[in-house]
Amino acid sequence: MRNFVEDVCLDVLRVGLSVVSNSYVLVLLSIFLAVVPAEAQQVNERMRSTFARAEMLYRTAEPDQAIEPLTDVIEALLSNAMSGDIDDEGQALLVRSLAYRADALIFAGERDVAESDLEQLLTLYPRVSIEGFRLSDVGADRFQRAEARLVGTLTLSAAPLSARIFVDGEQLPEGITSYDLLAGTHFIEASLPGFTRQVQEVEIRADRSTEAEIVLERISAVVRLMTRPVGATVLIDGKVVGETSGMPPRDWVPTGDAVRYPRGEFSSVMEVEGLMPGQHEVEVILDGYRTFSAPLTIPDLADYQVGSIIMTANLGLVLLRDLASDSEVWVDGRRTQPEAPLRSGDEETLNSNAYRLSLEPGEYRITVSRADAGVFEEMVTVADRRSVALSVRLRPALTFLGVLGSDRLGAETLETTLRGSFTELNYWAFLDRTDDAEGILQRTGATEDRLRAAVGEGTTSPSPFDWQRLQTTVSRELPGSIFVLGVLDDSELAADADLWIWPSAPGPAVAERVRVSLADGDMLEALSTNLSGTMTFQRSWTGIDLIDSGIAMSPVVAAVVRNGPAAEAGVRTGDQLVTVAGNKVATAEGAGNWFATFPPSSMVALGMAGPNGERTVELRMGATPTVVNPSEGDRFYSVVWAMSAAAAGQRDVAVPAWLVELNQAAVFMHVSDWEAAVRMLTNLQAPEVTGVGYGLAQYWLGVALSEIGDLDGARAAFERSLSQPDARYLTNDGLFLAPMVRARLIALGSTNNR
Amino acid sequence: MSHSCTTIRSLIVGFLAVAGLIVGSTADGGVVESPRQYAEEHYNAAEAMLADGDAEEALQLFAAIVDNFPRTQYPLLSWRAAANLRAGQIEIDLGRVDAGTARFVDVIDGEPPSVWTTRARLGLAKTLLWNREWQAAARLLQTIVDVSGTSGPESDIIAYRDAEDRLTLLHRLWLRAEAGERPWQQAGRYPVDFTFDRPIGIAAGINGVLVTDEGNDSAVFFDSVGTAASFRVADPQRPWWGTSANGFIAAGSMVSAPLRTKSFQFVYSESSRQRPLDDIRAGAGMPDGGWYLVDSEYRGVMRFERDGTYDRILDTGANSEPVDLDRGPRGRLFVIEERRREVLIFDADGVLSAGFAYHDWREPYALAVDSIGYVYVLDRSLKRIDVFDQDGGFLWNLGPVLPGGIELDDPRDLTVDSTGRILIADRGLRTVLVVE
Repeated sequence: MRNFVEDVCLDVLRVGLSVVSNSYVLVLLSIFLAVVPAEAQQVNERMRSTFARAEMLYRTAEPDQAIEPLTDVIEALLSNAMSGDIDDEGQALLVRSLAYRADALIFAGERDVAESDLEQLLTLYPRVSIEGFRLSDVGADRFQRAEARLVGTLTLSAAPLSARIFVDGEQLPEGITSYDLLAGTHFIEASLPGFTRQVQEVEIRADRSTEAEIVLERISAVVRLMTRPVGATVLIDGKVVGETSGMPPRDWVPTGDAVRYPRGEFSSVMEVEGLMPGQHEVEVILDGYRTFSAPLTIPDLADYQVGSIIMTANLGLVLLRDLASDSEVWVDGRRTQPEAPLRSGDEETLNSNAYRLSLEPGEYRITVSRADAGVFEEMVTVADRRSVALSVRLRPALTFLGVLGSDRLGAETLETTLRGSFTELNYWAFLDRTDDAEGILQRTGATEDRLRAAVGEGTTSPSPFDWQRLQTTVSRELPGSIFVLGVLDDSELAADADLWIWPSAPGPAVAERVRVSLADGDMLEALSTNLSGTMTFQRSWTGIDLIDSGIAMSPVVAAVVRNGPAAEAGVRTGDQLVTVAGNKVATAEGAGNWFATFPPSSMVALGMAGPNGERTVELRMGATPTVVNPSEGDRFYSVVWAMSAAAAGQRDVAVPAWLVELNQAAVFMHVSDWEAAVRMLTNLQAPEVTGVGYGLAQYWLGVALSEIGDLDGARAAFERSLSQPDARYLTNDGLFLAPMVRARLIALGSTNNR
Repeated sequence: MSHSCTTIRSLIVGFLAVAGLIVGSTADGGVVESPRQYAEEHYNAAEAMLADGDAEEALQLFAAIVDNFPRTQYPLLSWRAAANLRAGQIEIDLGRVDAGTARFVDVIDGEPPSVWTTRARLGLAKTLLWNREWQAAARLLQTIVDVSGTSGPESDIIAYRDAEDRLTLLHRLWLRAEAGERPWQQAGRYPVDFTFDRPIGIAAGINGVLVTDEGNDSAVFFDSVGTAASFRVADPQRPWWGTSANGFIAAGSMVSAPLRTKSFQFVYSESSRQRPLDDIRAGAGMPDGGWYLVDSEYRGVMRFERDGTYDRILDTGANSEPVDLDRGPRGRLFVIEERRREVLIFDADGVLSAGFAYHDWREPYALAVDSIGYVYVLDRSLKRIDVFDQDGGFLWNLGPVLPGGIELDDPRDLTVDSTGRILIADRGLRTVLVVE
């Protein structure tokens, strides 16, 4: 039986040629051909079972019963074998089927047909062995006779032994010296890189051994190499000799640096022939990698192993100086772990203490953040084998989340203005996260309509906007100390916009709002003023309270703080302050302005006048902590929080923790988050000193406790505040705290006043 | 006699007749529409009540504004700060110092900077001065001067002037002493271009000085730059300043208000009889617009309501002869009782609370109280001025020879201005002297 599938295909093609333009037929043909591969698979499965049945029948007392099934198998596989398109299993089935059928035919008395099978078998596979087939004696004898009639042996001697021998185009296994072939004319081709190529015609006689000698002549040296990765272009002396590909040989054992890489990343062995003795240059080129270049000395005409060439990726280095070990580093928004410094400690070279990022050439956005200390961000251009050093200076981050509003012209106007203004703020790191914020805003319900409705909402609104959720989400997903979001006042034609500003968690989850006019060129003046200034936690202090009097030409000393700078200098109550550093002063405010120009610890000469005449005292400037007033009207408390947090995180700024926390407590008090203020103030460790410290912290704690209804706790806190009689409000030269505390106590109904 | 006082004229924006207002009706605890307008209306209504003399009712309405517009819901509502401040001022005037002080602190602490926080500081400073907490008061007052010197939200010219004057007063009375100096270091004639005949009465107010001259039956008003305005007043006695910067002259059978070209007569009720006062010698105005008058014929201090209705006579003791009186801080009233040669102190309700005397007084004749509450008593016979603190503790004396050498001749009256200068009407020297 002929190959059914093949015959049908041929028939269809013959018919189809005349109707190929008929799409219907084409569709049918497509469907049919799509079915064909599945039919071939089923034939193999069927053939196995058919052969198994045939073999069983063959082994019985009536082997001729196996002829028919064996014929099915042979017919199914023969054409594939003849075209060379047969796998090992099919080949094995066909070989056995032909052998068994021949034997069965002999048993059935059809010896001629049996001979035909044996001839067919040997023609296809002249080197076939029937060992293990358990043919009958007659069958085996017939096979041997056919073999002797059809097959001869080629005996080879080749030099060099590694020469590659091809017989009729088929490569012989390496090292083989004898090879069975069908009697007849065959072509032997021998080749080896670096050697001449030889082709011989040989006549094989059946049942004879025919010798063939192959001697190849060395004509060039050969260089063998592998690369990692695959696909590299190899040049010898500037000429391309090939491109590496494939996989390494199975028996290849990586050595040296190669052991660090997976086998699969290496190519197969590339043989480069045609090289003459002398100096050569090997180059290996691959995009994204540094060109490998090496001199190659070929002493003789021989084979040489260059080995595995491991190519180095193009990489540049970004050095991060002053990076704290607990910082987080991102490259283009992806979290990255930099390599530790080469050295640590106080070493000579600045860069040796820097963390390192190895990056392929290109432009990158490097972002560093550390807790509340702030953010550092810079664009860098990385070039191969170049390093660029960045000094990581953390600054509080102002993160811009974009402008909501359908009036795109209005939105763009505001965005442009905001970006321009914010990038000029030296104190802040400006992060434009407009794109990243879009999804966050949608998830948290921060739409233009919702935020317009939030204007004027208080805590008593039935469904106030969930600022807590927005703050938490944004703080978690984006770096920032404060966040700014613009909302146009109208979807179609906006004239104004609201800027919502809030600090990152755990700051108060309350947004401050400023309305700006899109037509106003100075729309951001208030915000810029707040953002462009830095927050001072301490300033100069003299320990003198001055007053202006209508019966004095100069400010009069109303109080000298005990053990303060003025007391140490010998300033007395009732004296008049005539000059500061030689400059005449007429008012207390004027004197204060002069004092502000002298930093803490500096010396300043004061001209004093008293009942005993004039004198000069030398005063060493002190320093007073400064605390934000919770009730100021034109201050952005989000900014206060962010700057306080940054001061706490930046270890090079000498601000005591209690002072930072006191300022942060002021923020909570400003937004009337009394519980948070109580928590912060309860744990605050303020010093018991003259001026600002424990007294103020306890006072505010009392105020906050009063607000939440804990009157006993408030009373106790106020009493503790009163234990500091020299306590002052906000600064060491601020209002005396005791009268305010007593008033609060009296209001609480305490009997312990004065 | 008179005293300096601070009026809050700029707080009175206008009057709205709001009939039927019930205290506490401002809100039901929810969000009020147009809170600013609502609070403003009620604030103005409270001011109207106060102007009518209904201090308690006004206080309740101011307090209701504070309670119904809490900071947590209306953080920027300035009317709340204003109402809280006014409530505090009323509490002080009614003698409830602690309550008033608590309100001032509440405004200072919890409201955004504004004129109200400045005035609250001033209110607190006044309390501290009274308590002789000089340093704390000085700090507060200087803060007012500093912020009012700028054009910021806290700038307030009225508080600024008051604070300036009090700072000068502090310097004089406290810091000079700390430095070992005398509070008053020189004396001279009142530097005005005017010739007195026989000055017998003097009172200093925020707008200027009133002098009565029996020699030419006149009252002369001197403004802050010394410009004189003279008015004819028959039988002028002592002058005084009332609320709203109104000047009054005791003039026998009437009280003259020459700056308003008005005069008032008073009728005293004794048993069932109505008897006009015929010999009014001195007087004092009360925060609610009421009157205290000294009548020599009846030898008593009588209280009249704002509209002139007789209220009562103060208990100055049997056979007393009050000759002068002045109002001090916190609504207190000081009266010289000539017969017993003592000073009587009445509280804001007119109840006698204390008194003091000096050992060698012969003829305590005139009295003045400064803004701190110090009491200045002129002994006519001794030609001496004795200064006492709020509790009657002796501090200093002046005269008969004043600093600089001028000797008092026939001193009849004295006053103390807001900076602590003492002005003396001396009939014998035919002039007004200034001691500073």
